[in-house]
Amino acid sequence: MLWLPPTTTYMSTLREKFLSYRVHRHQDSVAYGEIYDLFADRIRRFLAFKLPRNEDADELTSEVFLRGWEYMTSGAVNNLNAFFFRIARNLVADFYRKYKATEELSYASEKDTGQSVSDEVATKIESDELIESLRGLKDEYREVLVMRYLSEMEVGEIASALEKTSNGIRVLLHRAKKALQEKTKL
Amino acid sequence: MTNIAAQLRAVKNQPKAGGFSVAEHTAAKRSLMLAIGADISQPSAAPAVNLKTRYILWLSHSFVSRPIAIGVAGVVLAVSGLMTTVNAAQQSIPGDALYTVKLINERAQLQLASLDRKAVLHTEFAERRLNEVSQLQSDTSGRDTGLVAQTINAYTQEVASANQNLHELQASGDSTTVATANAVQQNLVALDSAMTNTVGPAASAEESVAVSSAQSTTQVAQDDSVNVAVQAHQDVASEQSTRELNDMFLRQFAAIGTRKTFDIHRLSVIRSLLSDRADVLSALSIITASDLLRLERSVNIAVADVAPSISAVALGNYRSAFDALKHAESLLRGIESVIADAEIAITAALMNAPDAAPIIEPLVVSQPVDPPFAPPVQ
Repeated sequence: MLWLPPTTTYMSTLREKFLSYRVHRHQDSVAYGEIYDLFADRIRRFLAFKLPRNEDADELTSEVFLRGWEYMTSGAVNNLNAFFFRIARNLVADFYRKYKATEELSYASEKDTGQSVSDEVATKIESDELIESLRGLKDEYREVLVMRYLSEMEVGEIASALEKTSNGIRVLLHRAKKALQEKTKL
Repeated sequence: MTNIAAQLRAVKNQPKAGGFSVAEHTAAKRSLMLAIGADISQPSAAPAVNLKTRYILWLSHSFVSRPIAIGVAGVVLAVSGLMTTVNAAQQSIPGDALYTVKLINERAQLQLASLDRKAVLHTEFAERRLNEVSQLQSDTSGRDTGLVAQTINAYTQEVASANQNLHELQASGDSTTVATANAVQQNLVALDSAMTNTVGPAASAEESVAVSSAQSTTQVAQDDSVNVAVQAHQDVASEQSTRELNDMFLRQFAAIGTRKTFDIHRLSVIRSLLSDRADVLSALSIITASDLLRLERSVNIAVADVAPSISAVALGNYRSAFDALKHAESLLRGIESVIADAEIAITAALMNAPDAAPIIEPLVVSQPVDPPFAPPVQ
């Protein structure tokens, strides 16, 4: 294996390829469990910042991985990262299509109670403020910041998840940080 | 800026930051596994080890066995493609696109061959050149007319190379020299008669020069192969070299006998034509009955000289035996050229005769025409 480029990204891509192959060819649920371990957290975060309640995020996260299993056992998937985020985005769009019609009121009340619970500790307030400012950013800025600093994804991974170029992601990150900084100073 | 990044990193484990806690993650995973129908009652360690082994197997399959299989398949395809091309090239003649491949293939064979095999190979390639010449001559697709002379020269070159290899082999004192010389000589005899029978009449001065050069080179090479064999046997005599020389001698001896019978037959055909068509032929005085008798006697004398050579062989005196054969052969060659001249003249006369009857059997000119024959003085 000495002739392989010694980057961990390459090895992890290789590992994902193997797991994807196991799921596709052998319906290997253990392999799918490993895939879940790799991607569940970042998908959960992505959804948590897109959806009004954590319960919604939980529900959609399990829905993403159920659909993922269905797709992966019937067809080969090349880029798992992009694959799961695409499912997640589609589910979010579906969610709001239904939500706008029925649950506008309950969202507003839930959001209020969510804030009031965390008013206890001073440090917590600070961090909550930061997260709230993050929520106040526009979608594309929030997405990259969450992926880069909360999910700790590499720029290349974010690019593949959002189906953009790495350079585009770097520019976006730069602007998003600037925007967040201005928001927190206010 | 870095401050913002650090602050964000610091809050990543807050419940509001959207991440799973370990307990949440495990619970969610468990329900997912149930939902996709996995058997989660199994101890988790066993399948994990299993998956690791499978990963290593998969890696070795992806990066070792598959590339090797693909590589091998590629090599097989390339080689079989090459073999097909080389095989197709065997049928090509000068001027064809694949002819170069044929020549390269021959050079490659020569490069790989040992010296004794090289000499024989050169005579085999010479035979190919002769076949190409006859194909070129019957070819009507309007090829370069210079190709015939070029191919004849290539033939001459092959024969000369065979001869040179044979001398090199003798100089190296190789034990296979006599056997090789025998094989080469046999091929050269075949080439000599093939040249007469398959190569058509020269179409240009260039071609006739090439043909006469090819004939003399073949003749010289034949003589040389005999000399090499005899010399090598004299240097180091062995059971095998004796057997090879005997074989060589018997073959040539038998060939002389066959030629004698054939020549006598030709003379008797001429004699019967002279008497049957005396009306046309007697006035022309191409050849007289007494000339025919004289020629017949010369043939018998030439061959009679060969008889004692058998006893020379028995005594191991190959040099004089082959010299006798060579002498008889050159005498026969001279006689045959006179017979051939007479045959051609008679054929022409009969065809021009007012009541020209169709010639029933064409008169075969089996030997190349040599300088005029001087009958031996009795």
